[in-house]
Amino acid sequence: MLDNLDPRERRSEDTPKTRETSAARPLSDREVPLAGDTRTATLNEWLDGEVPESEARAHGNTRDVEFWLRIEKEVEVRREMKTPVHVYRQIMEALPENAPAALPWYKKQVTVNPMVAMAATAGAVAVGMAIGAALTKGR
Amino acid sequence: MKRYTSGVKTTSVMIAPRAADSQEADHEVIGRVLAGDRNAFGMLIRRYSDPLYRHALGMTGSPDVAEDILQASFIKAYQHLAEVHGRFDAWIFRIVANGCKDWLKNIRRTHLSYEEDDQPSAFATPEEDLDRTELRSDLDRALAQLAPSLREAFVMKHVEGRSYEEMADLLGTTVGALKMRVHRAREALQVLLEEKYA
Repeated sequence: MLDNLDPRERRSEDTPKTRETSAARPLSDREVPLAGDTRTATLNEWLDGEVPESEARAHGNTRDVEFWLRIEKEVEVRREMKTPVHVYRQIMEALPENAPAALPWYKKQVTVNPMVAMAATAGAVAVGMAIGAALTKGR
Repeated sequence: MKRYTSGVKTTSVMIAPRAADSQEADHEVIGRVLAGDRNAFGMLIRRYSDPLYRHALGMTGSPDVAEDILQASFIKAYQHLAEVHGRFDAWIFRIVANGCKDWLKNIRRTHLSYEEDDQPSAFATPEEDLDRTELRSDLDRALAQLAPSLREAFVMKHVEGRSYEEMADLLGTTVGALKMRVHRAREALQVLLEEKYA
């Protein structure tokens, strides 16, 4: 006879046979996420534009959906805001008269393409060989 | 992927519409400014000031501070214009975003509201307008209580209507991390506001 390794089968008869709640079981055992998590996840998916509003409401989020629709109405006003007209003039007046300073040579970006890389390598090898030759002659 | 109408509207991938064929590209405008055409810089200001202003306003909650940050950022950008190597819009965004974070670090905030707001109301009746004023103040207060990184993520997603990909590009982080920040910001805002508004 094979050993029964399922711990649930070894319960004594007097142990009440209650079903473990989803929350009590390890996460890996849950086939369906907790109800609260699904609700929040669906709400966020709706707010991210990934599922329709009806789906968010279907998961018991009606109150939350109404809340976010109200917030959205306020946020929409902010989304349409423009820079006040006087700000443009203020910035232009505050700009220094001189053109922006050119970048000093040590801050300039060096673009290395294959040709430049090959030339630099060849140069380094030539210099190395010359130094090597000089040292050998010196002995 | 199909996008549903939801609480959030996402814009295109860039801060503002990219320079169309008829428009001079940013790097060409920058070249003119560096050659001494100071007025050409105005083109860059007009092109990018609105989304940057919205970001500064969302982060600070004060129109005056947002204007100051915007002005200081554009002046700094002008002085260091020769250092732009990549996208100007991403570069100027980082200057403004850092300006906002510095301000948040240095200022002990009291109540701030959009007192000087003269934007048109989207609400039909005076009652709705009154409700909106209250909601606006409450939302400002709630936003002010969020950690700067959560506030930044919420403002970029909801107020500026950016996609997660664009946010990741601008902030140099991952889409997953930003989704987490936005979700946490929503959760926190809902806890702070739902007693009154839910």
